[in-house]
Amino acid sequence: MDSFPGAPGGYGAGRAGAVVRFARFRADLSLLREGVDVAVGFGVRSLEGLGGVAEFLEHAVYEPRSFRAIDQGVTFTLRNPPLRMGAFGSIRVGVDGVWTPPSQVSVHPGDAPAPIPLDQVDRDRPVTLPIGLRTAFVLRGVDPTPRRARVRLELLSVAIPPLVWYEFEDELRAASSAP
Amino acid sequence: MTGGRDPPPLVRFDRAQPGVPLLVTGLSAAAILSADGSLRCPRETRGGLIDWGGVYSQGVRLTGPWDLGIEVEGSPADLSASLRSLLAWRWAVRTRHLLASGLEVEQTIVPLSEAPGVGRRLRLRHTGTSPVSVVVRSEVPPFLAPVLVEGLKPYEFEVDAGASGVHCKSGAHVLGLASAPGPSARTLDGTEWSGERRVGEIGRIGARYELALTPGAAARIDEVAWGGVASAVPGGAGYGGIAVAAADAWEAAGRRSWTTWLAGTPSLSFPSDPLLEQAYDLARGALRALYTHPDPEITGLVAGYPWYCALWGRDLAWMLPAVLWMGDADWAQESLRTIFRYQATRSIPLLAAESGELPMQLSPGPVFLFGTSDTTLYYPEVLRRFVGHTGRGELVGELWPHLGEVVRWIDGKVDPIDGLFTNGGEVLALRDAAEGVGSVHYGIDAPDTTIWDSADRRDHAVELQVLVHDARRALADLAALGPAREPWPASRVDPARIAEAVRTRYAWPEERYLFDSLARNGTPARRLRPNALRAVSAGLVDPDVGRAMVDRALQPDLATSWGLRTLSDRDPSYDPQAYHGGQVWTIATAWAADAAFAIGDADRGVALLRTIAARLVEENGLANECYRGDRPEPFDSCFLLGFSVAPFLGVLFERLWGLTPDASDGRLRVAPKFPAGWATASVRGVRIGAGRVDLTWTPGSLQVHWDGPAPLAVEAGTARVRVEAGGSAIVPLGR
Repeated sequence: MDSFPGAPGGYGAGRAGAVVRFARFRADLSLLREGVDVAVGFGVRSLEGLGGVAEFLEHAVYEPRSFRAIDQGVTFTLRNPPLRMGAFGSIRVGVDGVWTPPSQVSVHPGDAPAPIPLDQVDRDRPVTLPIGLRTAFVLRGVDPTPRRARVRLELLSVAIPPLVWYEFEDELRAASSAP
Repeated sequence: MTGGRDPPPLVRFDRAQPGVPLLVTGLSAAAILSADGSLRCPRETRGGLIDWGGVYSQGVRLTGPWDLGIEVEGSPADLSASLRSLLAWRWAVRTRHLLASGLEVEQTIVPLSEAPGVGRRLRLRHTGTSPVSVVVRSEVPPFLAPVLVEGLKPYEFEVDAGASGVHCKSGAHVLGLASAPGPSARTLDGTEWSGERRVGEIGRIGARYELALTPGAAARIDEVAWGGVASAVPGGAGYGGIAVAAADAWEAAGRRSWTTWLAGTPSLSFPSDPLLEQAYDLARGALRALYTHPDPEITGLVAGYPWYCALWGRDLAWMLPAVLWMGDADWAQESLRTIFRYQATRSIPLLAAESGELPMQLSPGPVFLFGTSDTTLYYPEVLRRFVGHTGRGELVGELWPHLGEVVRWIDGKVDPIDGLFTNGGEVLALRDAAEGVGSVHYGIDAPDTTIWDSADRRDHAVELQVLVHDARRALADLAALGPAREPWPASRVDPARIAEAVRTRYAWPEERYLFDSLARNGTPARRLRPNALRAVSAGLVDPDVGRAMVDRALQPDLATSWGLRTLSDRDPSYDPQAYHGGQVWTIATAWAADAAFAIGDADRGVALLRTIAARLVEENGLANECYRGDRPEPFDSCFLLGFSVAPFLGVLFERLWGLTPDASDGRLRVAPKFPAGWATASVRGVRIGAGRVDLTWTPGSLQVHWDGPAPLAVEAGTARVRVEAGGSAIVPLGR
């Protein structure tokens, strides 16, 4: 398995603990200052409007609490495609910095008849992630031990080249816990 | 038809054409449907299939496909198969259906003129001989997502219903549904619903109307779907009832708004080329279809439909010159005020904004985002043109401090070592700023944001140098109109140095063309794109070089019979379905036409305009954003984009007719470039300041009629003729 940025040993190593907390603290202050800038420059309604869109973006894709352990792996659900709509000729998924082999990942978009293994997705056989419908991802071979984990998806549109990436952090819940 | 005679429709069918998209728009709402009369519009989108049918308002997609079903005596009717006529105007679509049972159904879909919503009128008439029971079902999935957020739909809604109709909410967005008469029953996700408040996942909101029709009897159902940004929707909960009560006036109001606007625009006559004349009429209507005034703070034109129906700063800049040619100075002025109102006054990394920058996107809320390398550069020239068309120099004074910020922003983007404008990295600050915020992170690895924003063209894309050159030149002209006591900061950008760099450092002798870009270290990007033609149009290259460049651009690796590719098909990275890496874009075709006229090649200029014209006619007055690079098939394409309409209009006036107005000075320069063989051409009603000019060209001569309040000086080559107020004159032209 190869790893992606943020993996243990990747750029995340050495930034643990206080350093990360400080970075978060600094980002929050920066956010606050920029929020004030927006309100001063464009009015409070602008801040509300922008905040609403940011909140929508944060909550509209990954279905909260859907990250769960299953037999020999984990699963999670998206409610919308991440940032880019349409068909993707390549998708890869990783957990805690380690890419899961495509043969071990399947995607079940919306009302599609069956899950599709990611090693069967390519430019000639792209997969469309539907808008407003659930898409289930199943990752086999991933440690199902309950913990806080970070999941990253990278997707390549068949129409627009730049890579789209999406990361969420959530508690990996035990198989028996309610969704 | 109510309240007047119908103008000729844009589209007329006598049977269903489900694959043909239709668009009807008002100033704050639009409906997207298909030519089978359904409010559905399934369309390939970024390689996948997405249904765009439904109602859009205030920058919010209010609904998914708004379905209509009719049952007669318990048997469902096929409305598509029963369609007998479809008439579509820009402001309304009317369909007539004859059902096997003898039930006639007339449906009219109209964006409301005075409010953010769309009306759907049904008129039923029973022509059979026995009484029938009829059930009409109207069902709509709430959508309630801002259009500038691509591909997302909320999945939780709050909904309730009462005497005034249905009210649905998600986040800051609202949808109202109302009808007259009220429905016999309501449904939520197919089950009966008494209207009590529900919160959660809601798929479909329905209304059922039960009718008993005797022979010869008629019935009517008027429905509206309205809403948008909760804080900006007028009228409160009772608004829907007010709207349906005015149903008989919907269509006339929409028509009046359009015909009034059209009456103020120029008419063109090209007896030698009826296709161009027809395409002008279509493009003019398509431009008007993009007008938007969703709330009191925002006036402009949306970039396109279906998925770019927000205000985009770059796209608006490409459209405003055409708005000026249409004589709509007031709309252009309010659009300029809108875009400058949202100029960043300081660096805001979370919005990818640098101080002085003009917004990339703007939508009611207001919601706005920055982070392009070119948007800000367009506006000095747009403002200069505004003054040229209108003579209203006071707008320059009003925007004076904003223009000073533009001067600073440009200077900040110019490399102090090589003197070239730098593109790329605009959104990296946004990622850094968002890195530590929240538990969800996302991004698109697009490091660059030129007009081809999915391509990496760092560091010094060629057309941006042209834009900086033109912006600095425009700012120099505008500087004379502002308050002398408040000068802008001195700029270290030297247009002459930039022009020289374009001529020398971008020269690509092997291709007799210009490099697409230069890296900061001077390494050229040897990619053949149409963008370099902007240097020809701007006159930055010698005439011989310009001619060679046009010749090169029209070779078959870049040019196709349906337009110009964004990248030569000989490039190793060419991909016929890559957005900016091989697809054909109509704006690039317009650039080529512009460049051809600029070097005096009228025949090729007109041929390129005809390429665009043919698309406009074939697409029923819509204009696709882009096509595959290997066949004339729209791919990942909005079916209407301002980019594909406005530059075409601009080239007709500025290059084919060769018009340059200077309303401040009461002058019009005319340098027509009609192809050999054309016998005559005329244009009527071109607005210059407070007057309008009519021109009739024949080889060697120009007839002028001017209705303005003061004389107009008409210059053509070495000829200069003064036309008195309300007078006419003949201007001799060199052949």
